[in-house]
Amino acid sequence: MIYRVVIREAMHLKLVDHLLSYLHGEDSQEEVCFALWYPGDGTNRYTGILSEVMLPNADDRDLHGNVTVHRKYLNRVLECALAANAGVAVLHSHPEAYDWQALSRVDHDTERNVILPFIRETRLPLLGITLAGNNFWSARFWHEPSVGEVQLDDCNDVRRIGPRKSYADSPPFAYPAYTRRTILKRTIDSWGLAAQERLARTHVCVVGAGSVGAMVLESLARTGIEQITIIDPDEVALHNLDRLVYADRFSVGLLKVDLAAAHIRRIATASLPVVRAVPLSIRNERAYCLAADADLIISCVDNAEARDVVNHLAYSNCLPLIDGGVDVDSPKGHLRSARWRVHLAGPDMRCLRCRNQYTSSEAADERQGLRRHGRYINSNESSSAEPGQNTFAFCNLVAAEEIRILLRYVVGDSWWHETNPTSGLWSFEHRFVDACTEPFEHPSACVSSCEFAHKRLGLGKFGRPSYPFLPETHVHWRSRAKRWFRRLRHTVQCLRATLLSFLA
Amino acid sequence: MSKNAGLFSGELSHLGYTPQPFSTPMRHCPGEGVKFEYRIKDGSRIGETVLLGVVIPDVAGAWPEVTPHWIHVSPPDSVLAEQVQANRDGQHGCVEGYKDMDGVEWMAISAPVTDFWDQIDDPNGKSVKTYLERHIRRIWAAR
Repeated sequence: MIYRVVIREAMHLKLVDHLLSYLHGEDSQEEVCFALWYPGDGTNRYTGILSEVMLPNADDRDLHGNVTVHRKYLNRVLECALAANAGVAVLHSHPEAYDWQALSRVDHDTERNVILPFIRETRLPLLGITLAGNNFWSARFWHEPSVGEVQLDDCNDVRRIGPRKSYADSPPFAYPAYTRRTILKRTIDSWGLAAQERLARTHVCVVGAGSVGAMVLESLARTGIEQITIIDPDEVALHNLDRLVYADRFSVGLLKVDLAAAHIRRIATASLPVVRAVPLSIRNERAYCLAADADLIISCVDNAEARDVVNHLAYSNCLPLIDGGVDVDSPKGHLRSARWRVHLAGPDMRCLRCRNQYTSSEAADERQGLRRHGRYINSNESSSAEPGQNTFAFCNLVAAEEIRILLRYVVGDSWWHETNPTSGLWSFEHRFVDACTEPFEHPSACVSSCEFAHKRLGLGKFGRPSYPFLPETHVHWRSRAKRWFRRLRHTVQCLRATLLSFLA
Repeated sequence: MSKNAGLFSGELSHLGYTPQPFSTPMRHCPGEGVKFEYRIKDGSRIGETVLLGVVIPDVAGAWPEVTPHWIHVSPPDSVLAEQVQANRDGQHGCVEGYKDMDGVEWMAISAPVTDFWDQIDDPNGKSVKTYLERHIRRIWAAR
């Protein structure tokens, strides 16, 4: 199991302000405070998401170089944690340090022997966090697997998620050293080894491996991303072949995720690429939890129902989310308009619903089966063209925009300066027929009634959608056999094509 | 009563209505809901009282984040039905008629709140009161 802590940028600033409040005094005075945290949804990663900081009152602790916390402060924190079903995190500062902090004997004993037994009632591990200097976090979980047994697990990273950037603080032993490799020479020369390392170690989950998703995956694999999760329940159909970069005419009937995963494993430039193919809808609990393992979500879905789920996922697990979509209006084959929008959403940014990317009503109707592909299925308008028109060119452009936002977010935190009127904007709309690109800024916060920004933010498992997950359907043996045969045929055809080209 | 129906019903009672359990045999609208007597406040039938019924199926989501798709009206109103169907835009505008278990005739109009609900900028704004005042009233006002 990998352990991680997520801190929102706004909370980081509040914590730094408190924990370093004595930094400018005569002594290097440590400070302490508590916070509430919720466990995230991940399957392979245990995440502690800080949700609320509980600062001490003046008489809650004594400062004497170190800090002594009074029992009434602990009682107050425990009471709040129990009421909120949350865990307790204890945070303290090492003002003169600057990197990942090991525990001193005093800190170790305090966390293990004083605070951990006190918060046992929460039934969640104690989360210990140390701030070194003014911006480097280190963290560990204290578990009690059985009575009297205490287990200490250091986190692999502490992530700070902000509106325009994210940082990950990791211990020196967490990852092998990232080295310059010839295969990525041109890329590394473009933005430097440190930026490439940050980019490569970002675990990206792509929801939807259709036309846009395929191009996004291609870019991720070639950029050297080491961990990619792909989620899509669909099989390749004949009408997909004009847009899927990983599929050919022998791929019809095969799962999109299998083909996409095989393709990006083949072209990946990372030294040890880990590609996880999840042939499920994001509305399945297993897919939802696997997506929560990632550091960043790229949504390439084409329906309101899935957008609502990724919105839940991003806000309850504090994950940055990049979403893009194409809307083509071509009545009777006459292209009247084609426009696509790309957004960066996530904690402390306006959610997809508040940006009008879908409405709760559309999502609810799709869940009930009343609506599909942007149209009500009980509508009698059978004569109108089936929605979902798209072209390879449009998908390419949307995917390029999504990757551009990803790069700005992960690599270019200093690029979001305010002097250029368009550089700080998070949403882009392109109108193909008008040949117009329009960046536009939404207000940074959601509307005050929005559940994502106010009620579900950072709640992890408690912030899941209020509607039930879809059950996983059992695949009949005939379907499995058919799929296996298609895979075999696909392999044979590919080999044959390779052989023929070799002979030619 | 389902959780959604319970929440809706509680708010209705608070507003002075008398909600009763309601269920419909409509295939698109399974689940329990509430019906209540509604005095029309706008339009050509102002002052008249009709029975309104709403259902939020549990699979759709939770009130107040999700609003009912169908509004059930008894007795059926042919003028309203024609008007709803005339405004069909491929998004909504379907009308279905049926009889309930007691033989009472109902008409269900497909009229989801697609415009303002998600943008309500008031922490307590998503309520039955807003739903009635801003959505139900405009339907009758247009009749």
